[in-house]
Amino acid sequence: MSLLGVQELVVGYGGAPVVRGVSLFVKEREIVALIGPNGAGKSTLLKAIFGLLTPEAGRVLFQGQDITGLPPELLVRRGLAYMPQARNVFPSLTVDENLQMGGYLLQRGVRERMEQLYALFPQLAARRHLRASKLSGGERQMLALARALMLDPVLLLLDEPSAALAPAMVDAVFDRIRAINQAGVAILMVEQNAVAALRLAHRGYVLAAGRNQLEGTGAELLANEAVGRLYLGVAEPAGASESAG
Amino acid sequence: MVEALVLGIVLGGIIALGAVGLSLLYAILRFGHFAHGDLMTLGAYLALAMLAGPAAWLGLRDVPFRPLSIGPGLVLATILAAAIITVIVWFVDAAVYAPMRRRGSDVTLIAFASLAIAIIVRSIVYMVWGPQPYRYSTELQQAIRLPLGARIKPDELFSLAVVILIVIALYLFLERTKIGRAMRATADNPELARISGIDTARVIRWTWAIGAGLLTVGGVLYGIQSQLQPVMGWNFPLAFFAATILGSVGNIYGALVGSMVVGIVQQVSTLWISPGYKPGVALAVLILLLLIRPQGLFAKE
Repeated sequence: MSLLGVQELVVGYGGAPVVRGVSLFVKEREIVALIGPNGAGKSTLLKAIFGLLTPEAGRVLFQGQDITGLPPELLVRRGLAYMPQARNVFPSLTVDENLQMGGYLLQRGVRERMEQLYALFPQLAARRHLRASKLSGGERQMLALARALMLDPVLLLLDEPSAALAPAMVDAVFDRIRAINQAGVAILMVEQNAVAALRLAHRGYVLAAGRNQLEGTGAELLANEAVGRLYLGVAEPAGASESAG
Repeated sequence: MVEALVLGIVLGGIIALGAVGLSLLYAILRFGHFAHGDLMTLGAYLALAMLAGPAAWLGLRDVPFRPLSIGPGLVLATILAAAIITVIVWFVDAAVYAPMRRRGSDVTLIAFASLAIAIIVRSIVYMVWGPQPYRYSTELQQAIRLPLGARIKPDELFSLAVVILIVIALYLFLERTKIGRAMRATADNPELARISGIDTARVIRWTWAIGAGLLTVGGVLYGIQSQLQPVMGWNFPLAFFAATILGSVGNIYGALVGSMVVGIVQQVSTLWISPGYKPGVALAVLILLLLIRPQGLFAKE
């Protein structure tokens, strides 16, 4: 049984739907990448899974239970976590306080959990009393990841973790995502940086115009000529270019 | 001049109790709460009723802490009044503002709804207590002489001490408690607060309770210094908004500084113009501010 199942989901913002019948699944301990051109509905899909938008049709199953339309405050209690693309830290709170807010629902063991995450993100440990607004872009993204991990989720939804980061920082963030996954957390990530995402992911889905276009393992999609031509932004064989996104 | 300065600081402290609550409410709920001044009036009158009721039954009514004109009775009455005002704002929020938020109403509409609440509250004060002024105490006070020829009443110094204590308590609450941090987090980013599992409905209830408590104390302190009148709070929103904007909207520590500036400017202006124009002075500060630096002194970017 898969951990997360999305069945024929339709989501919009009141007008014409942006996501028009997408289906996918994520198995336990798996990294799944969701790629596709701008406006394909990737971020919208993620928001609908996490209850920030209400689907017009379709179902979302998590650990065998129907969670369609449940609000985020209930989903975090079930082991689902979400990192938004932008505005994903509390700028006027310190690094320490950001993590405390991530662990708001924990009755005890907040300190211990924070120390575990500082071990996973050592550069944050040195900044723990600094306000999040004073962090660099890369540090901020690390903090956003750490905040989302405070409740020790089973599945982490990531919306463009590499957005607006310098190439060296992208590698560092992806390296941490791999480490999080190796600790047992399943990951569903939306990425513009398709090459790096497909290299990291076990499987991937290509969305276009709000529908499933292609799916396969990361390697299969990287080798697929149509993917290379359409979404990796290059005419040469996919994987040869790092400038995607 | 020195006396006007000291009195200005006292007035600034009272303004701060309203402006800080207003700024906090704006930070969390994103609308200008126009009923703040009239609820302050209601708080002052409720304290008067509690002084005549429960405090009098306990025999605390006319036993002032000398040299102050007020005593433990008014302290008790203020706490009871603050509790009642809290229940009232929770009710109004649940009945009026929360449904509007759920429907996604524009914040301007919610602000207008609060203006309607302000008028209703003032009408209730008129109906229950009538237009005549009241005082908490008829005790006469000996002014204390300060250096440079300034004279100040013990009650005014007491007011300032109360404001300072409340501000310190509020600072500790926001910085050190879990719910205080959750309030700052919600002010920073309401959506991320929900995503983190913060109970934002509880944060909103706390915000109203703090706003209500602060404005009730502000109303009582103002009542101690002058007298209780149905329009006493009507003149305050101008000062509150000027102070809030001066300190950059949503920044409560900024609101504190803004309040001191507005209070001092209002009080010092009475050296040259009639005290009746104090609200006009606040309005002038507000207009000048909007023309020169609309983002306030402590804008984030």
